[in-house]
Amino acid sequence: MRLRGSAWLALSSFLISSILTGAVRPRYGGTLTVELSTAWPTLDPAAIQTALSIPIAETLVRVSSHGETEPVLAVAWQHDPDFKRWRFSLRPKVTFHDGEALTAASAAPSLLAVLKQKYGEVSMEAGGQALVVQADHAMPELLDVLALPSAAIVRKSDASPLIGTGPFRVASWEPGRRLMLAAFDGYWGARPYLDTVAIEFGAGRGRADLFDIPVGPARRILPEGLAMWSSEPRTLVAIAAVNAQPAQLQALALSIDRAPIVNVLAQHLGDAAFGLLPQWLSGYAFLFQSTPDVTRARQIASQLRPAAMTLSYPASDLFLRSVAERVALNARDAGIAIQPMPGGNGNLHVNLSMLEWPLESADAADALKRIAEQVGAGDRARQLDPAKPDTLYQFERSLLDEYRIIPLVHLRESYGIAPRVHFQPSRSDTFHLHLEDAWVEK
Amino acid sequence: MIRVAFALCFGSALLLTAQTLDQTPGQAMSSAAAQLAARTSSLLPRRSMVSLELQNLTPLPAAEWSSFRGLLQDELHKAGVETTATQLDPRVRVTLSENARGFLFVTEVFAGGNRQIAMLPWNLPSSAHIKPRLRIAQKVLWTQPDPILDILLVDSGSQMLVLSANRVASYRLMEDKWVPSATDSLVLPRPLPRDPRGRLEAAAGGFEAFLPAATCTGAWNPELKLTCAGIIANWPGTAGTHWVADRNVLEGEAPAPSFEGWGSDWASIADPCGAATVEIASSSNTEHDSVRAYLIRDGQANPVSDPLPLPGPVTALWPAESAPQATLVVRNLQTGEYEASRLGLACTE
Repeated sequence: MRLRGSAWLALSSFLISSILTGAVRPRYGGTLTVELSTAWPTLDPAAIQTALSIPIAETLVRVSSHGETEPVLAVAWQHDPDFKRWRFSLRPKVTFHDGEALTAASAAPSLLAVLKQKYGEVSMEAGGQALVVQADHAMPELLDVLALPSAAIVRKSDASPLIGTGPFRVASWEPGRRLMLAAFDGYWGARPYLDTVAIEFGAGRGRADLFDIPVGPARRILPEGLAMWSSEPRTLVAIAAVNAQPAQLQALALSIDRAPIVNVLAQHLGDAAFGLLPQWLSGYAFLFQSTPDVTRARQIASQLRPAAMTLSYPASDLFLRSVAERVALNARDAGIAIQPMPGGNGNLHVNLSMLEWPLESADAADALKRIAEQVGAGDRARQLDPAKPDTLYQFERSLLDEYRIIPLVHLRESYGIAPRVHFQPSRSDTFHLHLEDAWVEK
Repeated sequence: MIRVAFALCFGSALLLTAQTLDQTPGQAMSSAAAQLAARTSSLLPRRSMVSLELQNLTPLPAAEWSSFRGLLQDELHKAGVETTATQLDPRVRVTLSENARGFLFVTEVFAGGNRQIAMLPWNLPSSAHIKPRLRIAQKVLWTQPDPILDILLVDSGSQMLVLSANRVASYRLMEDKWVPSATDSLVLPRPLPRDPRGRLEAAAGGFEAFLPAATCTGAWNPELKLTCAGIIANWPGTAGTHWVADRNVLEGEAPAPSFEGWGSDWASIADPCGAATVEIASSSNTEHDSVRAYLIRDGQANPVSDPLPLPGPVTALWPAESAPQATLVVRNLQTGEYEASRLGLACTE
């Protein structure tokens, strides 16, 4: 089950027509029941990365569905010309769920931890609602970092596992089993419609008001009358190459037929990926589209006489296993021997790995930087600018031509939704399914 | 005989956001064609003859795309590039694509087995103005990214007050455009409810803003000023109508009408064809919201107009300060922006 990765979702047209309503005014009250097939061991915002936004904690800023930075707990910010000193003004009159006021001093500990991890030595001055972040080196992408779930402003206490400033507070938490959320009446951005949200993990029976639909070869029939919420493609499934000849990888890339992966293995909950970023994010992914060329792949392979390669996949992931086996089948047709194997961490004989890269940002440049960092090309990605798509294309083209990563499919995330559930979007964010915008009929 | 009972007193047809104030969609298309032609010609030798192929991967209507093709060919000609449908080398393919930030032109130049790429982001101005239909006339007055709760026209329609969830802004009508003149923040004792609602009413010497968290009094002359108190006051001229505190519904002595097919919002306005009033109501259709005029008779709501389709859900529908009009606010699902309009009725006898 793949519901990892932060939530960068676009609403499909059928979703808009079925659950986003405005003609009938939303109703306050009631409980929304949710079933999620993957258990959460923790409520750490950095670890909870699903399309379904569970808004307990908030960040200083967020990235909008158009890739622009928007204020959340910070209402203003400025930096010096060198990007070494940033000053943030925090939103006034915000309280944590335990009644403590949000101040620069109360926000600083959460931020310092994540910034030290990213930048090493960073200092922070907190005074009233003003927070100053300073470092010896430039931090041009600081806002992107502060928009990540890991930079959420939280407090911890014995009474509650997670205290944030978001529209819902934790009412009870049984790790990996149940989470009960209650509306936070003092929320600065207006109380949610729902009184409570009851989330059950690992259930997967599809009886709740809202439940996830895992990607996989098993077709799931939705009960009659239920709507389906489905995202734009947002998680890249790809092969990462560690120790293999580029020509051998080129032959492998030419041999892969993505259509069965999308149509059969993913049950159409994704699109064939020829580029690293999905088309909706880059606008140029169609330029990478190609068809399998087994003849050419066989020619290259015959000249190389390649040694057998191993392709590892996470042992518990049935979907990635099925994709790995399919890739091995395609490769065999081209004369390339690939042995799929579970695990692979620390195994020196592994050449190839099946991996997933969830998009963490609707900023195309930021998303590309993160992928580049994963394949050791982060230095070359520093100057990418989302306003210059041709530079993004050139960079992505160069990464693909090196064959360090072979994209296979961009997966969507899908949820079943009962007819009594509606969503009243409070802002122009087309990438999240916000629980605070949900309301239920009587 | 057609008797138009509703005459909008505002000359400007549609007020766009600051980014697009200077360009109509047609002008934006010409400008994009010129820029794209310049980029494309820079990838080609001078005085080239190329085969040109265009593809549209976006929802841009075929007619607009077709007119763009003509504009691009003209601009390429000006830049010394002649186009033909015959397959030649070099070959140029122009694709209109779309990404998270908007439209994106992608030009591919194929020459001698090589491919060169050029890209041009394109922010097409909104053309979301809905033309009035035969019976319900609509005039969009103001568009903005955050929710509009109500608008009030003052000084004989030369000034407009716009109530948002966190401010009141005033605009002056200058040369058919609403120009910002002042803004004052709503300082509220507590947040407005999600699905914020509010009502502006003219009052002696100024205006009042009725909100589910407070009641504010203000003036726009000589400067815009606003003072809010945490009380939920009855609306003037009603039988005790007021907001339910911290919620999105009203309560009062007048029973709320509700009929099959109606949404949550309606407004009574004078019937231009008779002595009665009619109700303009939103629809309960969750797929495509619309407004329609109804005459209430014998406990039945009888439609007296065609539905006026809207680009998104109705978020506010109030009687306007002048009797034969209503204020409509819609959240446009294509642009994500809120559009405030004035509705009136044009009828036939």
